Amino acid sequence: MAVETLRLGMGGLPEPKSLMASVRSFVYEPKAATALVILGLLLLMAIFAPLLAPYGFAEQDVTASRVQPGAEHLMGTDILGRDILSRIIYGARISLRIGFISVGIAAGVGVPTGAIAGYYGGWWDEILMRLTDAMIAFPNLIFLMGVVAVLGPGTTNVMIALGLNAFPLYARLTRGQTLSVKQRDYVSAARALGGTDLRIMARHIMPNAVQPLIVQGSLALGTAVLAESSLSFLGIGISPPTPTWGVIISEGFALIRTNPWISVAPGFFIVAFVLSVNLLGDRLRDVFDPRLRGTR
Amino acid sequence: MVGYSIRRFLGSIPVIIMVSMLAFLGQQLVPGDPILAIIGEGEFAELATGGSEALDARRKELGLDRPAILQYVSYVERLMQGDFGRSFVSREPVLDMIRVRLPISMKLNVITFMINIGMGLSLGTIAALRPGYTDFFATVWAVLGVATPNFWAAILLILVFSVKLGWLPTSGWVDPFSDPVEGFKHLILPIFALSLFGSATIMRQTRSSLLEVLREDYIQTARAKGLIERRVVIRHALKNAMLPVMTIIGLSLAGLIGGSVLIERVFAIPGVGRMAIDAANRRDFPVLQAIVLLGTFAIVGANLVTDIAYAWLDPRIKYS
Repeated sequence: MAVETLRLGMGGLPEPKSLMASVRSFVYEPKAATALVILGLLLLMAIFAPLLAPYGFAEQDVTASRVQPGAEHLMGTDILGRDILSRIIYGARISLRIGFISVGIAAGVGVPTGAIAGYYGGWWDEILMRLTDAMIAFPNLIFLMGVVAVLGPGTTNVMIALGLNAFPLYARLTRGQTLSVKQRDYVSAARALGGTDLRIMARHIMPNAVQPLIVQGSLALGTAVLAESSLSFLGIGISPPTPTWGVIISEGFALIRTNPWISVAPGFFIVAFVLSVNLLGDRLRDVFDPRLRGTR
Repeated sequence: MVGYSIRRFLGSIPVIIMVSMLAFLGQQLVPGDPILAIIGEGEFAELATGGSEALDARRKELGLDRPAILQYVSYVERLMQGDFGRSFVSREPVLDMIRVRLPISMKLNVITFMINIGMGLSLGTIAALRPGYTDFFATVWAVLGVATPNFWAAILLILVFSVKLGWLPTSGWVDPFSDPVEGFKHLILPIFALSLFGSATIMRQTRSSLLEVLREDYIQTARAKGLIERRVVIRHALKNAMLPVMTIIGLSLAGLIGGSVLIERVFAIPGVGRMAIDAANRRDFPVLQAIVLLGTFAIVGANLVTDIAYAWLDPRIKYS
């Protein structure tokens, strides 16, 4: 009874877990494990594309135009006789690279601005919040179309546009976390010990504010890949013959009545990727905040 | 409540000002001579043949020789008069172009928005109240709905319902108010594809917040008082679970406006979305800028309505 009272008195805090135990508890959940396997396979596919793809992504064979899926071409060919599977495998490289780098840009810009706004407050905070309010109010896809139209098409510009589009979310999230963490006693203690602002932010605030940012990063990856494929489908982002998944769907769209496999196959890869990062994001959120477990 | 609504309205003005500043900045960032972004390549080429004096005169006429802040002020003045400039391509006033296409996009978006709310709320409530298969299938629907690109879902729907079964038209637009039967047939697939994401996110949030609320002590108290389950859910749980759902409903409008661009492309619907695609491809900046601004104002308006609805649902908010 006394032990129980003592434990409850301490807020019933769980014992700190070892790293291995945390990893085990993370992958123990079947949905997260499946998502991890799918994501792993897609990443391997992207990394080893030249080894895995049976043909080059731009290799044309006019004698094999619009061949149905079969033994020679597992997912068929397009109008120029290019192997769809090879284009999808190489497409994973480009689509995923755009996803990861654009999230990196968003976090790279959003986290420091949010941390500075949250830490110092004042006019800088006020301007930043109004700016992010305005940017969040833009309809995403139309905003991206506008930015790419200004910057011009191409992989780098699409990454910049996606990063710009996503950075306000990071800035707001980091600001919120910084505001909450900077009130803690250990931050006051670090300040009393003479820690510089930069050191306090880097060593004491950010490590304790990073969990929701990781979850946001995971979810943002899926959003970025979806947005890139949407832009490419509209013919605004990345132009053919570069094989992103959206470009391949767009190329096959005109032949939808006669050769549907061209547009159908890449979509499954987009869904698989977005689904796996979303499920991982949900799982990470559950692990970081067990109170939410079972509500999603 | 009126005071709170006015305060919230005034609070959205800085956002609108910031949006207009960003749109103006975007115009300045267009590569090349800034006048090019206002008069377009056609007129620029015509004036350029007349030498630099002709271009300078036009610059002066447009006020481009003035400081940026004054240029911004006249830009806002023009916007407030509904003057979004002229299309680079057709030379038509942008407002006239939008006026023709907006009703089409509005019909598509408003109907889809209603369906999203209806489907999202009902499926989310059913999923939260019926664990087991119902919850499982509703959750799978939600998870897939969020992960599936709507333009790809639209292609699959065309393949099944138009190409294979021949039940519905593949593309085109018939006004549902002038020819209800044909209009309805043309709307089914676009609305279904467009509602996938919105209904899934609303459903997910409804289920999640209802499950959280159902664990609260006051729900146990309501049950212990002997209230029938329907009353417990509707009067006690659902009303409190609606707050985060309202946020998602407000946010889903942004996704809807973006999503309708893709759906208009797939189904060849001649709305504002199609116009945005053509404008982006031809770098017709005045048209694109007007669409971005109108879309943003719609979202700011929707957020305002959401906030006011929030205060209605939870009176504590208006006093905080």
